[in-house]
Amino acid sequence: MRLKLFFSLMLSAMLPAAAQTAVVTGSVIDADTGSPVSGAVITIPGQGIKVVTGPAGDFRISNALPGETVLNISAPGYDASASQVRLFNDSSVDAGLLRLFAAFAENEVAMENQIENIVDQALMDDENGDTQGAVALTGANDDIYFKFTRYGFSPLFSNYRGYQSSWQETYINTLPMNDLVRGGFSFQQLGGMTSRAFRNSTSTVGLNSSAYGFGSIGGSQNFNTITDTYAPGFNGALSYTNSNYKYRAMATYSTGMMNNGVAVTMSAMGRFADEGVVPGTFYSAGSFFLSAEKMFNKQHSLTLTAWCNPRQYANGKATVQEVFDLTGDNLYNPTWGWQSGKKRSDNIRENFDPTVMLNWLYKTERTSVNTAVSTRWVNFGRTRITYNKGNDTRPDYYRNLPSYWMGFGNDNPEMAEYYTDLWQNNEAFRQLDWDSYYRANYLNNVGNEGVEDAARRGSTYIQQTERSDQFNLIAGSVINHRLSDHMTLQGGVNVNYTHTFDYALVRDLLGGEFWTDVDGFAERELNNPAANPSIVQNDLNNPNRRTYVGDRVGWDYSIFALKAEAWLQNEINLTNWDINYGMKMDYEQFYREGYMRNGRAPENSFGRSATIHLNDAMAKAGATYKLDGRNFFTLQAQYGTVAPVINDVYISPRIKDTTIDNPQSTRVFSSDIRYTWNYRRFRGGISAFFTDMSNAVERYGFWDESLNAFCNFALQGVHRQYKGIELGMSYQVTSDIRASFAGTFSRYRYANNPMGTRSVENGLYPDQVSQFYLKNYYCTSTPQTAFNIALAYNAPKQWYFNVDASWLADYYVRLAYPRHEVITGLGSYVENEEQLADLVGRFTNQEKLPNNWVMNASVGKNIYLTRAMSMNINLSASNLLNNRNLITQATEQFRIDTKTYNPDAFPTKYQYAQGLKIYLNVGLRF
Amino acid sequence: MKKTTIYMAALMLAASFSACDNNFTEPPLADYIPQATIQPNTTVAELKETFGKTDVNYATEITPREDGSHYIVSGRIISSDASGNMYKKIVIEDETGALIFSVNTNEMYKTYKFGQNIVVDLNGMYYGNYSGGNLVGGYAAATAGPSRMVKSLWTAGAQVNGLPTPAAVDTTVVTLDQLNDIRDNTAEFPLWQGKLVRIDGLHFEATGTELGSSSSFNNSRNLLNDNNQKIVLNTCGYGTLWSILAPTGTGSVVGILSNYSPNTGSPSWQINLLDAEGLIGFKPWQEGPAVGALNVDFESGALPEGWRTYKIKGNKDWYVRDFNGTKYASMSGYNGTAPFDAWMVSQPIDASLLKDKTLTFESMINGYGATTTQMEVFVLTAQNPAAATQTKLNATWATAPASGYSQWVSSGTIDLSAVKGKFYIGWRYTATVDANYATWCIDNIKVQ
Repeated sequence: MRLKLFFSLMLSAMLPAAAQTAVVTGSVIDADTGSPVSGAVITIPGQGIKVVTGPAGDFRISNALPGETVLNISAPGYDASASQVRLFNDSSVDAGLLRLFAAFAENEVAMENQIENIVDQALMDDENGDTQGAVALTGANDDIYFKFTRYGFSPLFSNYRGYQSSWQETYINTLPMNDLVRGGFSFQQLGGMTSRAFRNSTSTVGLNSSAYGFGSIGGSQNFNTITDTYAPGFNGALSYTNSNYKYRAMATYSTGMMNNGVAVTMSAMGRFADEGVVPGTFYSAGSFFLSAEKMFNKQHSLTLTAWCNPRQYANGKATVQEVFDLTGDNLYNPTWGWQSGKKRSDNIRENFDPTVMLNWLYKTERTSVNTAVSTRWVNFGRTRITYNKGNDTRPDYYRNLPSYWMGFGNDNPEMAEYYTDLWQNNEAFRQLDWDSYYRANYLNNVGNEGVEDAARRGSTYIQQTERSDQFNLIAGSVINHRLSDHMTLQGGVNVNYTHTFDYALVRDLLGGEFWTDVDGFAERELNNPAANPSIVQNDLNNPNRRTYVGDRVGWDYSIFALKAEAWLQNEINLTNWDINYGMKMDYEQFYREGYMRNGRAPENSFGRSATIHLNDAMAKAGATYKLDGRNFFTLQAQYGTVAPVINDVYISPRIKDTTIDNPQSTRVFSSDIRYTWNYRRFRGGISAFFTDMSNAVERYGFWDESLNAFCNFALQGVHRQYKGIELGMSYQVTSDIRASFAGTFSRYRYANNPMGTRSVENGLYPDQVSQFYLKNYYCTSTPQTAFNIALAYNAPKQWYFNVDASWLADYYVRLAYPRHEVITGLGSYVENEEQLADLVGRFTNQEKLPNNWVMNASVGKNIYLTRAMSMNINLSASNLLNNRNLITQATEQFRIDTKTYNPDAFPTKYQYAQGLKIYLNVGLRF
Repeated sequence: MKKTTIYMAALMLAASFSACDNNFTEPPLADYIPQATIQPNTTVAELKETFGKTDVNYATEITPREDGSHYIVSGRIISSDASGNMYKKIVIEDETGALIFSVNTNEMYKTYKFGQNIVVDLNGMYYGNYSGGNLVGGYAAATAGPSRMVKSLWTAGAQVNGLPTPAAVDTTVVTLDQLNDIRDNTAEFPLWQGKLVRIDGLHFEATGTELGSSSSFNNSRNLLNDNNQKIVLNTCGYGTLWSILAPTGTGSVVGILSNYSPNTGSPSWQINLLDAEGLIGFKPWQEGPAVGALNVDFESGALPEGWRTYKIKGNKDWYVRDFNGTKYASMSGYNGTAPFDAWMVSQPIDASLLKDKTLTFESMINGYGATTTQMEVFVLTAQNPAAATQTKLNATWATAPASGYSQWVSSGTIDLSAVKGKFYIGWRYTATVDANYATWCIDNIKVQ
């Protein structure tokens, strides 16, 4: 029955247009952002003609009567609009871009500031390197719930529907830009220019279809930098904030399309802080953007976009609650210390990701093709002190804490008091002690005097830079073809070639003569009778190599990856039905090439590894029934396989090319059902979603001091389920006041007890496979119950006020796998079953973080200096209640106390949000 | 429209939250409980019979049987090294007898708990006698007893089985008469070594002294029954029990039984406490009340009640000597292991009760010319010099003649008027390594 209905719909969609008619085409876009408005209804009064725009915002009416005609345009959330065109018999007229204005103009500057805040937050928090942290899709979208997941729930709400960032696809000018190796898209590549140069963007929520790509189950976003979409003129702003950075200046100038068919947009931005809100941090970033377009004729144009984001900053770091309590400061940062009267950080991160992209746009009446090629050089480095035969330099190392003297089999209150006093009263103790590293190295130098060359000692401590660089060549083409007034076809092919460069290099010898490239931690293992003396060597081909500043040390390897993708989708837009279905095929291959023969894996570290091939396919379909112009019902589903992120496939890529056993793709099913209503004053949507991911891979690496080795966990066959209800609605109280509500009640859980491999990098313990009991634990550390109430007031005389409050709850720590397996030795430590049950219960408990209210407010004013020149002043305050106990990150430590089996011995590490954050912005445009 | 909304909402709720089991899954507790993977094939009795000899010291390596099978025993752990008294030892017992293991590691009680069932593959370990006591240990030279086995040999062979059941441990009640009979029973004698026993009706020969000293590994204190039969309480100085003051009264002692046979001299039973709870029914020793005067001439042949000696360094102690018709307290480093630091400390004295606030005593020295030996006298605020504030007193001392003993020399009247409250007088003998150690003698002590 359903099938019959479907075919009859298809048939009606393809019926040839009647004779003796005129044709009109055009595109509907958001007047503010330039992004296409799909699902807009175009009617010609008096002719009974009604069409709906496709995913690219385009429409075509092939059966209009010739003559002066009015096109009425309406779309949910926008003020209705009309456009007058003159139509001619038997010919096609292009009505061009039809702009729709949002029914309630969200204040632009206030929004921009919020985006800045969120993106900054997301970029600062990527502590583990393997996760890209929080993801914030930016850009316009009329989905009220979705909007608040981006703006309202921050800074805690990070994962849309609980998914990791790799489940959201980011496109720039229709080229997929996600990272094949690490997964997801690193927004810092846009250099903080999301509010200006990368302002024109389209977001696709969840399983919805888009014209620029197949997307992913977590939605997608396409940034558009085609030059003619920028409004001509100058736009500049100066800002002050009390956050990671303090000062920001930016300027953008667009020529608009000039008479010679050329358009140019240039933008630059700088952000700076000598010291950020977190002690010992700094921030220094520049961003440069150029987009130039040559329009050859109505059909062809070429756009060159180039941008880069040189940035150097020092970050804070998560630590245990004991340290926050000792220092009395939830922003305590263990990663800096005094050197010659200056704060020096050992958590410096450096980015530089120059990207160049060339787009050729071809457009005919029914077809548009966007063909692009891009090269991207990703340069990322972070600093870390390393040492050989030295002491752990971290001030918050567990043996430096008072709790160490009262646990781990110690019962020494005098030492505990002594360390408490050191923490509270001795700044040199609670921060890095750079002088001691120099002193140790100088002593080596002194000892070297008169000593034969072979016996000389290099640095005991050095600072290294850990590089994760990439070269990407991405090319692709996307076609949008209109089959009829009611049916469009989208498709594309693209290919991504990625070559990574992963290595560490000597950044600073800290006063020593040289650094011997051996693994000082493996050296501790030399006492183990099973150890081979060569295990300390990082490169057996150059044993005991003396290295100097700029030399590569530790590890050095590349991943070579190639991914090809093709997709096709068909969209049918009828008066009462919108239907789409599509399919995507992927091919991916990759291998590792090692440039060092590691002493801990001499046989499988140097040279080229076997190549892994993966084939994937994904299908999706969706239908919306439009009961009337105001009530829509949508059902969507997607099913297929997705290749794992390459980084998760290699168990210890720095050491060896061993992969997880028989790498396979993740199987995904996702569906959602939605009801939306669109009344003049009251709009909203409620939806429920369900996603099932099986056969997934998870990997996590950490330093296990009980084994004196870096340890990796690779879980395979992981089954997770994500489900929830989302509600978003807004009510127009008066034409100037709007109240909104957005909320979610969701559960993101593991659904099985997968097997996992524990691999110790020193190679002395064989890889060990065991079962991890994860079923029903929360797989995402993000609030699962959250709601937001917001009030916006566009006051007279160009004043505007926004205030919102969020409630965030059901927020759990990120769990550590080793607490969820049968812990070896625990059973012979306990005295009876009650004690065993109690300990197991405490080890496996997933801590629920406190529920919190967060309030934000913003006030501003636009001032027209002349007819063309305006100034805006905006002051935003987030975390208005100055709540300093907001946990932004909570991760259980992977280390287990195997001495006294105390579940609290290696407690969860937290990171807190700063208190009140203000953002003052003064902008000028003409 | 209203109805539709309600239907949709209901449908969504049903779809996404259909009844399901939402509890966190813990790993099955049973999987944590250790299971031994080896099966016992030998009883303790069979083992001791197969490898046992009667030599005071010997060791035999436990090698596989002719059929290649290992000797594997199993039993319940009846000891604990938590107090340190069963230093580097662990004892198991099966239905046939007890077996002591000597392992070179500490804190075994954390993973090998009292009452824990355990299976041990003995392959590569040594069975034998160490000073007449049988045990399983590690490699030994010819005619020597087994050494402490290296930890890895123990962990390779020992597998715990299930959770500990301390209630299942049997304590055997035995009398000294029975123990004497067992010593003569060649079949039973080896099997009783290591047993956890309770002996009732015992009292300490000397009360108020510590059970041992931190400076020596083995410390013997005699326990007597009403018939004056004796058993030695052996207390290890490395643990925490040595500082217990031998209690008064009659009670029961619970501990691990073992045999000690010196190369010369008669063998004896000894008992090692597992913890302080092994002393049952005794009365804690209490320091006597502070006195208002002292007049000590040692003519009783012993230190007066309430007096204590402290061996802080060296292996020699103060003793009361009877010579030339007079008795006095004496300390000598002769034939001992230097350096020495030995104290004799009086019972408590109450300064407020003293009439004259003076001290007098006599000293005599046996010297061979100059030595490093020193004698000093102090006022102490506590009986244990380590815990006391020490105030040195100026006394006149005997000087050492070239050979033989000096005359008795009076200390002179030493003023104690600055002393307040309860105090003690302590004589301290110290000497570093020397060819000859002096013997110091103290007598006729008067505090008034």
